[in-house]
Amino acid sequence: MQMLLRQVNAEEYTANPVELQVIVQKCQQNGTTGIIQATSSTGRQLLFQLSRGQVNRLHPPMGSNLNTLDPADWAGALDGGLPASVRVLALPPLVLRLAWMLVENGAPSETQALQTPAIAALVETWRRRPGPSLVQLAWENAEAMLVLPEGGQPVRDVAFISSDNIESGLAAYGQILSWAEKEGSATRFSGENGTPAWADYSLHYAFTLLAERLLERYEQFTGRILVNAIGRDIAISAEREGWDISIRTTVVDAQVLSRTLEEAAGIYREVLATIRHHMTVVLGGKLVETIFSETLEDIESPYGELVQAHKLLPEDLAASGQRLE
Amino acid sequence: MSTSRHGDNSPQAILAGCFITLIYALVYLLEPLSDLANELILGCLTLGASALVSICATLIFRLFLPSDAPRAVWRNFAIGFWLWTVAEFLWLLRGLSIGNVGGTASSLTLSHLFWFAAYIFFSIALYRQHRIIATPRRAHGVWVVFAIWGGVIAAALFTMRAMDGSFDFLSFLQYFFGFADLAVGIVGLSMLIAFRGGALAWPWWGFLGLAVSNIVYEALDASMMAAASTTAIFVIEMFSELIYVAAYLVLAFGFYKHYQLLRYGPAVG
Repeated sequence: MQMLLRQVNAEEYTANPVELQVIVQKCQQNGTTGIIQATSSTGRQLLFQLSRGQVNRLHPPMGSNLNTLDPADWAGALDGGLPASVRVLALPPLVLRLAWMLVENGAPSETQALQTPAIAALVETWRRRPGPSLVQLAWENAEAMLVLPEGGQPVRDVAFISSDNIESGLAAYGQILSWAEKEGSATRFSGENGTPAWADYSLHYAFTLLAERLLERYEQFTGRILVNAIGRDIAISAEREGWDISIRTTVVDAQVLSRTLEEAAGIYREVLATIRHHMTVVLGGKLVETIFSETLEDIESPYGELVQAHKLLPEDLAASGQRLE
Repeated sequence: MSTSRHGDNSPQAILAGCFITLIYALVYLLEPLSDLANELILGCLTLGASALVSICATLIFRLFLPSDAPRAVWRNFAIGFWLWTVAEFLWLLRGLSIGNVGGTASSLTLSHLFWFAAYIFFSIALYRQHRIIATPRRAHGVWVVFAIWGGVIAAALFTMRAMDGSFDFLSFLQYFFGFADLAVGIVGLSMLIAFRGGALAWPWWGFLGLAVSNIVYEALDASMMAAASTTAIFVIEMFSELIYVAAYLVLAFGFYKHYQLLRYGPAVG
């Protein structure tokens, strides 16, 4: 991997491992969300993923305790004590999530020259490939990342980065299609290699899908007004616990970036428990059990299985969901 | 069953309902004022209870956004109950003009048509509610509404034939209202079962109460014809009138609880 997200206006330093530790600590204090990329003179790289100032992951992964970062642990990864060039990239959570998938992904599955007017056709071709994919588009002055889900479904998440703009969400797809530069390159990374970043992304999507469908169903019974009450309660919990999750109407914006999959699953479990509690108070336990079971049953594979594998729902509900299958 | 997170004033509401029922009973029994004044008070209490239900249904309807599915349910309930309120108002005017507010009619009145029309809107509301609960894949088609209406009309005709031996539209309507209330009660009960333990069950408790009370009212009304003594007729009549007013109040209470839930959110502590 060369320079990651080179269009991002990054802070740049030259630092030895001890100075790198100071940079990391500064980012921790500032509550930075993003990536610190350190590249040695021989091209070896060490990347830190930070979410709200917490170092979540290192790449290459190391067994060291992320709570007590010790330069001695990573000096080896950067050619001993030699200075490295360091970039600090502050990123929106979704862009960070996609960029980290890129970091962990390894070798691309396909690469080809890109003609901007033909992007839609290229995406159409690549979304027919088996399994999910992460697509990286690069021009001279901009770059973009797109997630293509499995099963030929439409583009799911998009990030677009130019020198003066970082945009994420599906709205960014329009910017990609209308980008002024006509030529660039396109690379597809298969999501079937099961990296932790892909697993994290899939679990995040499974949770979002389940939570949004439950909220939509709840809204059918109660209207918008009581759905907003759930959003308010989640906002209070998120503030108290430091989660990057918000619910606006039935749209769940979960940008949880955790150290482990289990930590993320724990947060998702708590949010779903809050939704369930609200629904039970208003609709009654039996009806809620039916709604949860039907919703789980309707969730496309493999996300329904992920919900069950990570026990996002209490066992009684997950079990009733299995009975229905 | 939880209530809203706003201060729960259910005890006060229940007390107010009991007080109104007590006033009704006292005026009915003691007749403390002139005949016209007594009739006016009784009629106004019934009309007021009916209007209370309509107002609560309208308030609930107004809380929903145009895109909310329950809005259509409550719009139809509100229209249906306002039709009933208009029917009660016309009934009061008629009663005052003949000096008998609570009694039965010997001929078809405009009130009967309003009462009848309300069931059309109740049917739409209940069917829409059914569609919300059952989801499109498990919901019955709209044929079920026509089937229930057919059943109610057939039962009313059959009973009228068995009891009266001839057809009379007013008599048919009396039987129709009884069976229609029974149908509403059964649907209300099924909603109650679906929402059991949840705050959304409150309006359905009200519906069940209204249906049971109206059935008792119709039954008492019918038994009054067969009662031998004037004392028995008086007691039955009073009891049936009291139940009629109480039914509105029970429904208004159920709707009020629902309004509070929507207005202030559930107490999820």
